[in-house]
Amino acid sequence: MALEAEARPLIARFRLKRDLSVTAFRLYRNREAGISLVVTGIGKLRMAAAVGFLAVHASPACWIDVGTAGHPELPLGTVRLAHRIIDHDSGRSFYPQLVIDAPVTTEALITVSRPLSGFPDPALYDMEASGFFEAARHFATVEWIHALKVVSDNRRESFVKKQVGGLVEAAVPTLETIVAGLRELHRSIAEPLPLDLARIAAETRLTQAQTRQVEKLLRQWQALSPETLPPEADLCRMDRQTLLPWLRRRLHD
Amino acid sequence: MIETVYVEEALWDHPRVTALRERLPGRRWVRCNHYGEVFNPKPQHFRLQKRRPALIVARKPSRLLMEAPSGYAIGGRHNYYFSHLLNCPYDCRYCFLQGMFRSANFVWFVNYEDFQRAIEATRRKHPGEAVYFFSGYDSDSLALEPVTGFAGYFLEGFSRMPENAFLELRSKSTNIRPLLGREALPNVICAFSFTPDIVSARWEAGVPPVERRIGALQKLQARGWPIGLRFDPLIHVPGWREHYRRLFEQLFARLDGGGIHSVSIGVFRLPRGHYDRMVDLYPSEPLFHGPLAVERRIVAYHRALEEEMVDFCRQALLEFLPGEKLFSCQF
Repeated sequence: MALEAEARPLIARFRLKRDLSVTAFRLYRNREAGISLVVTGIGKLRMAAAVGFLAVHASPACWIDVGTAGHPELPLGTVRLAHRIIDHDSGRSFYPQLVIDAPVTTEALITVSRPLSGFPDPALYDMEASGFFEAARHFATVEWIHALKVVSDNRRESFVKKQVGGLVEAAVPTLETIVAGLRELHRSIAEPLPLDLARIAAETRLTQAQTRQVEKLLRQWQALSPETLPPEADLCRMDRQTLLPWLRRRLHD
Repeated sequence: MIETVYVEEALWDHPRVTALRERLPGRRWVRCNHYGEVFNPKPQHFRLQKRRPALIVARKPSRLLMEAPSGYAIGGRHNYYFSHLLNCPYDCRYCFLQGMFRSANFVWFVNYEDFQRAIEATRRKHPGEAVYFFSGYDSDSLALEPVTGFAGYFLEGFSRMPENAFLELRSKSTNIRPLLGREALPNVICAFSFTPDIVSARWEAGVPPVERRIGALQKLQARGWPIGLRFDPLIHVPGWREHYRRLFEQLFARLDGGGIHSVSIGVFRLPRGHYDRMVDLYPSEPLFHGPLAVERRIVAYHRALEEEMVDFCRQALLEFLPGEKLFSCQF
């Protein structure tokens, strides 16, 4: 989120606590709920930097840019999800892919570097979303990256900073629905191994490349004969010289 | 159901798009500059998109017709394929499209007139010789017919062509209304793909059951359409011989072998890159961890097993039809 004022309703709703161990950006978290929020400052460059920062410190599975936007006509407080994000400077477009139910109408969103007067096109206008999307694409596929905007100004009414908290507050139920949909989606495609791979890797001192090979072989085993998967403790007793050949041999028997 | 339709800006008022807007009201219609903006970006998740594929309406500017890979033939020397649609509404776990495309969204190329002109020009290059045009390479020829009107348009085109130009519609769909609604064309082959029931039920999500597809073929044959049977790819499961034998019996109990244009057998083969992407999408899928081997960057069943499967199916099919109608698609 660009502004602390925009963030406040979400900090309260999701019971986020400031993470004081980091200072480059204001980071708020609720580790139990698996939610992190970063206050980025205004502009797409700051946003892109904050996305990188968040990727390092929280590794989110899904990313949502929540904030305010202008629109020529829509009334203040209208909540919209972006279906196309256009970077006004470069002309590049990004298309978040909606594979969950959209709880609100979707809209095109144009990211500008400087505030525009009059909002020439029938679209949302903000100053961060294209930077957000372009950066987040390095960490997630486009189904997990979305921009949710609340109209804060239009041709008739100007932006009033004091109102921002109240406007974002109105978007919280929509945000919760989207988060729940994405969580469910994430659960539905997870295919966890019934073994603790990290423990096996640590105990047998596997390199990262070896860990990937072991995972591949265990998945193969799971696919072909899940009931005969070896006990985790047996695997942990091996060392890295013996584990991989043993798995290969057993799979080819 | 298609919820989102992306349309290239230049096609917003195209007659086929206008007609579709009337047929699909209430969808999310989004303008884009070029279909590649939506379809090509790297970080996309095919498996997730497959749950709710969007439609991308585009114009194919070039390479409208491609020469078919050698070995991809059903009796003609000159073989071409063309794709009015990329991706398929069905979700067959063995399908190479999962590994070939990053996106599961459908790309619908609406410039049918350009395709038709390219077909006509290519046909003229081979006067007096049979030229085959395959339409179901990157999709299913009939499954999205209510959206695309593809068969309706191209049947009309091929009805006006000399009979040396053949069109193959390849499908798993029972959506045969456009074919039943008109006189049969001797130069259009309605080819249906089959795997045994046990394979279809497990790995062909959304595909009509084998029996219903046979019923559709029966109707087409009764109306005089040349029909084709495609066993491509052959899928290995325990008891595969019995399953394939039963499938052939099922088919030939209801179809007239004499009225069949061609039968082809294809093997399960994937470029290594496609295979790796498919395993990433479905890491615990037994189909991808079966008796496979990698040879010259192609993943396929072990050579001996592959040969055994092809030979067995070939011999079993020869009980029902003459050898000149039987083709092996291997490339």
